[in-house]
Amino acid sequence: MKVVIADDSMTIRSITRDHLEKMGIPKQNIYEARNGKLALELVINENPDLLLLDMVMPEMTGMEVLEELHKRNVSTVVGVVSSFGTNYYVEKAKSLGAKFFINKPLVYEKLVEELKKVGIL
Amino acid sequence: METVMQANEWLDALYDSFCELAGHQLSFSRVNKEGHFDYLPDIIYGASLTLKGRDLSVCMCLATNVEGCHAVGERMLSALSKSDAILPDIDYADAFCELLNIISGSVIRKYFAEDDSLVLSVPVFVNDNLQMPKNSVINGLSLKADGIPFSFIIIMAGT
Repeated sequence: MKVVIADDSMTIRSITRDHLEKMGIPKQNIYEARNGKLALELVINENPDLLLLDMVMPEMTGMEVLEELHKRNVSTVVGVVSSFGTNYYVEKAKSLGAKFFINKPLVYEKLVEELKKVGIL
Repeated sequence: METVMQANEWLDALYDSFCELAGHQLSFSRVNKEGHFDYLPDIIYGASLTLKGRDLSVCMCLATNVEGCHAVGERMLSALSKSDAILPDIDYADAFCELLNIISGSVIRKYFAEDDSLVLSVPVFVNDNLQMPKNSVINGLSLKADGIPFSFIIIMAGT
């Protein structure tokens, strides 16, 4: 399984990577993007199974990435991991294809639960 | 939920959110309020972000000192397998910015869940004086977590 972590915070990328490795995902299959534009490029080039996407990022926001992936009909499962989970943002993200929305701080058990729900684990 | 929040309500909400995280993710055993203030400190060492929407424009800062910044960084990354590594300053700053991001997000979800006009900025780390428009209204709350000083500062446009 290939995963892209898109978050402008190194702290969050490190914690998320650690969680994914704990689930048994090989480290070489985990890609990181520090902004939305790089995340979009990684998804298009690497065709990952999962994209964990922050909302508030430089270059392109998470919502802009979701809109672009939606337009391109990309099959990657997208889960949003953000502190900005207002009802409006959650609903909009889901309408653009996001399968789940986790509010930060990202807790390991919550991530496992959501990945099981969408059949990734 | 009412979307017009006064500065002191913001500070109370940020403090409550800090306390929630302090007990879980940050493992601080004791957090207590020290007092309110209404000026901008000469130097801000901490994180800042802005939230804008139809009915509000607010700048939030979480300030501390080097010890506080390191304490937060170490505690946020404590679950990692490499957590004993000494981090470069930029990583501590990143963790501190993320803390403010998480705290402000918690407040936004609680008080502005239905507002579709909100835009939150990327947090930035500040180690300098902040220049604000003359009519800005500044309110702050000092607190200590296990003896380490922190303060929330809310800057809003004056009338």
